[in-house]
Amino acid sequence: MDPERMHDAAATPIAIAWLDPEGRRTRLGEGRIDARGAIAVATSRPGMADYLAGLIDPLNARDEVAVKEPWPGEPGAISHRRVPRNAPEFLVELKAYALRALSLELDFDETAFASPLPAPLPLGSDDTPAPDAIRPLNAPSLDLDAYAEPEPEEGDGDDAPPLPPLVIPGLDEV
Amino acid sequence: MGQPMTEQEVRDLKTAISAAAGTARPFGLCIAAKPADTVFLALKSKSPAEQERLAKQRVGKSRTARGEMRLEGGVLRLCCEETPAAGLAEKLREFFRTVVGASRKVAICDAAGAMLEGEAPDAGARDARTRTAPPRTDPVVSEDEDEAQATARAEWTGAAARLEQLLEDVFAGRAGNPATVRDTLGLAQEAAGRGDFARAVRIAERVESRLKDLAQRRRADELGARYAAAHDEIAPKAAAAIQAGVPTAAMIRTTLEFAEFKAAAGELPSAIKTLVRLADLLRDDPVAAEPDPLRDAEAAEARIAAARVDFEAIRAEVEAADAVPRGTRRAEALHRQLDRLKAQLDKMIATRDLAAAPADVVARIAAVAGDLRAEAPAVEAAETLRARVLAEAARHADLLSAARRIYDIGGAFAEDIAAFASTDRWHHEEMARHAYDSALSTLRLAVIDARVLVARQPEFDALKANEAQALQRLGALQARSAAMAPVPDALPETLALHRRWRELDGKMIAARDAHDWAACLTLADELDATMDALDALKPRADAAQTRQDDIYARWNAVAAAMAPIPGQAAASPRLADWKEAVRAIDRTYQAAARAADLDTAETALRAAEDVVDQIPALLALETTARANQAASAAAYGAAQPLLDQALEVRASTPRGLKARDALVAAHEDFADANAKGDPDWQARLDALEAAARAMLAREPDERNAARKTFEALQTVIARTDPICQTARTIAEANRPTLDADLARMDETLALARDSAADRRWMQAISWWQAARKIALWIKSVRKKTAKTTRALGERVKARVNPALADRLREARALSTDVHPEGARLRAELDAQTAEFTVLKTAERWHEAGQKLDAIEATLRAFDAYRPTHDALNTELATLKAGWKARGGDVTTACAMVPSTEAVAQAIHVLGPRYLAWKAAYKGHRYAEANAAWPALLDAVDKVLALKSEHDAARPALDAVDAALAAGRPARRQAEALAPLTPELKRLARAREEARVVVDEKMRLQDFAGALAAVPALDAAAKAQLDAARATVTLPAGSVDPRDGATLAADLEAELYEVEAAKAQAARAQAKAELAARPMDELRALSTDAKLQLLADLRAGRGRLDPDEAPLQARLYEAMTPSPEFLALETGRQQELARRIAEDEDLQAARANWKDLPLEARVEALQRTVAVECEIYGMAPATVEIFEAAMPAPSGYFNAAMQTVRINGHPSAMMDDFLEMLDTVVHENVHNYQAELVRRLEEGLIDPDDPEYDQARIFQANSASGGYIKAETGGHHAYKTQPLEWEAWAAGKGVRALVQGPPPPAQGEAGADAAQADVALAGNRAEAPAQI
Repeated sequence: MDPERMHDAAATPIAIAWLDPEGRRTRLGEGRIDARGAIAVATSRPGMADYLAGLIDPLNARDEVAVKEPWPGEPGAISHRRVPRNAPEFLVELKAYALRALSLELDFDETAFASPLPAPLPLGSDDTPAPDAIRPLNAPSLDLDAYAEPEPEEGDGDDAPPLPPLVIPGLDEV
Repeated sequence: MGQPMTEQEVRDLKTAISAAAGTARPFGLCIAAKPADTVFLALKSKSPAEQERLAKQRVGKSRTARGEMRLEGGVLRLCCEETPAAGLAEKLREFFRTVVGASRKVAICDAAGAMLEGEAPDAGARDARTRTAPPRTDPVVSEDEDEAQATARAEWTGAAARLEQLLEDVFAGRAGNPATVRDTLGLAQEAAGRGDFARAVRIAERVESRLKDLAQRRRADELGARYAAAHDEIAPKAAAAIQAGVPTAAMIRTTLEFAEFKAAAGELPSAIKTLVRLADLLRDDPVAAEPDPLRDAEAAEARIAAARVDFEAIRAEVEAADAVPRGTRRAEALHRQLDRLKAQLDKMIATRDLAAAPADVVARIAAVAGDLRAEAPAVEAAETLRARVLAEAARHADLLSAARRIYDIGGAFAEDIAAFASTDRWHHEEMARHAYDSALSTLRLAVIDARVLVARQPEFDALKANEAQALQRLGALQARSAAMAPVPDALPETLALHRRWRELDGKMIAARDAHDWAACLTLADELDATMDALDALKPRADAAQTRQDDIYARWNAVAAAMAPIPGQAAASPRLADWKEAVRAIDRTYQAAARAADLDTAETALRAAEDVVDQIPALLALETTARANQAASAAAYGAAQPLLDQALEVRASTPRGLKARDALVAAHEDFADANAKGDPDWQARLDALEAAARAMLAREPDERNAARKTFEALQTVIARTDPICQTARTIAEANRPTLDADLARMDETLALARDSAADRRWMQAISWWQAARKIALWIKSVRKKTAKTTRALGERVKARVNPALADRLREARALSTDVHPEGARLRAELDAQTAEFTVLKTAERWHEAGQKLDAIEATLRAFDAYRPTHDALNTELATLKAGWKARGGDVTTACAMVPSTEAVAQAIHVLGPRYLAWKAAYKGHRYAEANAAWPALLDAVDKVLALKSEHDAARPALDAVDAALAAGRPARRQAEALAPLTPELKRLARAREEARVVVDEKMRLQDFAGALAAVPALDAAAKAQLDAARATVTLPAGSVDPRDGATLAADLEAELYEVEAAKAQAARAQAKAELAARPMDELRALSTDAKLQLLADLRAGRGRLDPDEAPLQARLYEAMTPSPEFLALETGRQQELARRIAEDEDLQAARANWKDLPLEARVEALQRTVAVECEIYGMAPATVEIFEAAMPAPSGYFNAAMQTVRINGHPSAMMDDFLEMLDTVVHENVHNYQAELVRRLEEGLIDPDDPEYDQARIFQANSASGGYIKAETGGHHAYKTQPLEWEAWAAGKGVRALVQGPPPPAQGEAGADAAQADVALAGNRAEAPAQI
């Protein structure tokens, strides 16, 4: 893959390193990777170009990567799940596959190709009070205007007598 | 019955004949009537007489010969110790032609070499022995090649002799040589045998170089070990002598330093000599009058030499024992024991272990070899039976293979495959444990199951063709998708198509996983159409994307301009209003962008751009408002103590309540000014403070009035509650007209109760009065409301009409036993109608109307269900008719038991058919049940045909059942006992073994034997129970583990109770420890401690509680292998990778992997597994292919069949060499783990062995309930358990080694390179540990 052909917007930088069994890294090269996971090596470390090409070219030629997984029901059994290039999780699985199968660490931002939906405007939320705002008491209140006067009804003779005024001796009258 | 030569023996014979080209080989043979039965042995390690005897034993004839053989000029010369019967040469020629598969000239000679019969070596060959050039076998070879062969032939003679010597040097006295060396040498000898000396010499050079390396390494190791042992002994004594200041101290110091210098320089012989001198010096010195380590070493050497002589003396016996087949479990165990002892002896010899007692080991070898030879008759009998089983298996080999080739497609064959796989596996398990009687019986069952499966071959072939078509289509689709240029989501149409694509993709994955190939093909069409549509839209979408990018960019600019706007609620009302307006624009824009509606998005964008200019002015206003807000908040803070105090005052008078209301209103007024940054906040704060002071001024009066107000509240409550109750009744009777009013009354009453609970009596009175007001209002409107309610009642009554009655009648007419849905709907309808009647009677019309709605919904569900009912009802009628006719027979057949082998086989067929029919019936799949009915009846008839045979044998079976029933309660109790002590564990195992004996005899219809075995089973159970109930004495002063009490006097208790209490306590402690200890601490524990924790946690149970499983997983993660085991594993992986790299065939297979046929791939994988097994020192496992469309296992290890099974289906991973290498290595590691556990359990691994601890860990991991499945325990726990950790690490490790590391960097300064790597490493998390 020719890195010159990869448009900036369609590719993101990638650094490639080899991990030895003890987890030590050897830098192999850098380049760009596109949304479909095709890697174009731009620079490789001296003497490692062929080695790198021997790993990256077959990787680019793959239509899919294989995820090795346990197979349920049969202890010790394993299975492989194929993840095609057009799968949403392909770039994440490509990283995992390269590490497991090729001992390669592919360092790139797999979210770089996320759908470019616009972010909401930065207006914040009115639910977040200003720092110097004081809290109102929010005392309960009910609108009882609709019940101000009982509606008179014909033949309504069994109403309870109205409450006598509440008088508290020595104090006010309600 | 004779035992003809195995294929391996024939191959060995070919190799031996080739090897006889340079040197004479002993042989022994016995001629049978048929060439196929002739046995010809030519084992280098056995004497001619021994081989003759073995051959005679196997053939059972007396026409034998023995002596030495030599390959000369293409003629095999057999020099016989005794003159054989005439015609031997001819018989052997026939034998070679028909059995060995190659014509060979044979000459029979006497012991002196005089030819008795057969062909003389041809002239060319005879000349070849005197000429320097080899015979010309190929007329087109050039003179140069002739010359090269001649030179090579000359070299070969010397090389062969050197190799013999080297072999002797390297492996002298050892009981076995590495098979690799033998095999390679065999190849060289074979090449020489056919005259290709150049190849022979090439191979010999490779072997020689390897042997020299080995010899040199062995010598260096021996010297190193001797030096280290001597130094360890002498150095402390030398130090003591120097410390004591003996006269020769200076010389001792110098001599020791010189020895260490020499050793460091690698001159070990010189270093050892110097230590000898030092030992003499120390011996002369009184301080160092200790035993002489060098003398000890010499003694050890002597012991080893003697042991080698002893071993040589018994070598023939050991080899005879080796030749006893592993045909019984005891022979198998003895063979393993013998192998281990031989390895132990080799190790002693190789390491010159000073503490070793090789004579003892030789004695044990002799004893075990004796036991093994004594086992030979039993093995012979077992072998005869085994041969019968094998013959039977061979007879059905094609059928069984055909059955194994059938795999499940979409669940169509699942049950039949499971039945066959179960009996097939069972058969192999019985073979593996040498239970040949049972193996024969299970083989017959497997054959029955195989026939069922193979009968469905046409159905399978049709489905497989569909599968192939679908997979091909899926592949094409995937390729198209991968190659397709991206179409941007810049149009609503492309957005919708992409959404559709994702939806179809999801369905496709589900269909593929369910192997629903028809659905796959339909979905593939739809996906193709979607892609076509996308392709067609691409030009428009590309054009729209430019506009979309422009809109996005402009929108981002708007967003950037809005960044300074504070995120919190605005203080300035104008800013607040502005934000609200902009939010509305944002919502419009977001929705439009998500729908790729660019016109609307652009309109919203313009609206946003229009308001951006207002931002500076709004920010200025906001700044002022915020300043006011801050100032008012500060002032409020100063006034807050006064306000809090005032708000705490509880109003008990109307005036107090008014004052409080005023206070609250003033507070809210001020809070509003503060929120808006109003400049006149100060005036409002003054008012608030005034209201607070007024409230506080009333505090004494309010406090004094509290009691009386409380009493007044009681009066209000007493007068209000009945009115509220009346209002509630009116409201409920007139629903839903007064629902809102009733809710408001209830809300008011709740506020009243809250106030009362807070002792705010006046406030409570106020709320109760409000509730009363609402209640009175409800009462006042009841007549008006009643009219509305009556009208509602009329409407409800009108709905209960004849049409509804008809529908109810029709619904109730449907049968309820056809399907559960019918029964459910009927029950629901009955309940709803009953409830409706109650509501109607109570004239609760609103609820009655709602119930009618529900009834109508149920009737609609009945309508939807009716077609299902009608279809099922017809099938059910057929089913019932069938059952009425033959149900009795089915019941009778199903009640029969496997009392004879024929009956057992017939029941074996009947069982699955009955279950399949029953499952279909119970699942209301009557059509399926009816389809299965004829096959069921066929099986029933076959069982019933054996009824008399069954009935005759049944009493014997019933007698066993009766005998078993008597001891069942005791057995149940015994089975419930956990193996809490070693003795209980032993007794439990004994009981289980006794049970196996009974079960096996029952299975073989040996009821007399089973009956005879029942007492042993009962006795075993009783022994276990007795041991558990035995009394133990808990001594005075100790703690009773059952209740934790300290005992004042000795106490007798039941052993099991005590042990169970101890186990419970240990389990609780283990749980606490495992939960509390950090991982580092757990890892640092010894293996013993970790295994003890695990045992405590399990407390003798085969399963864990849900909260214990994560603790076990944590402990597994801490069970990291020892450095010694890791080093061993690393070495093995490197060896495997090296062998793969050196194997030309494997490298060729790897290079052409994608083009290789399946058989060639399997062969390559088989070679890999064989090499891996050899490195692990175990018998090679077989690699076998099965097929199953993914998702399915890619590979697994079948322990019963000693087989690594690999999925060869086109949808599996067979196209990827490295993935398959990873898979077979992974699975074969599970084979190794099982073997290691077996060796441990047979006592064949010493505690000082680097594999010992790991074997115990694997044993614990593979114990019942010990293995963690990913689907239940999680992926991390699965992968970090010891069994899987090692398998995954080995698969990955070998793959990485085969792939190889990068070359060293060139033209880059080392420091720079290192810096680059470190810089790279610094930004990332640590890589997971790997082998």
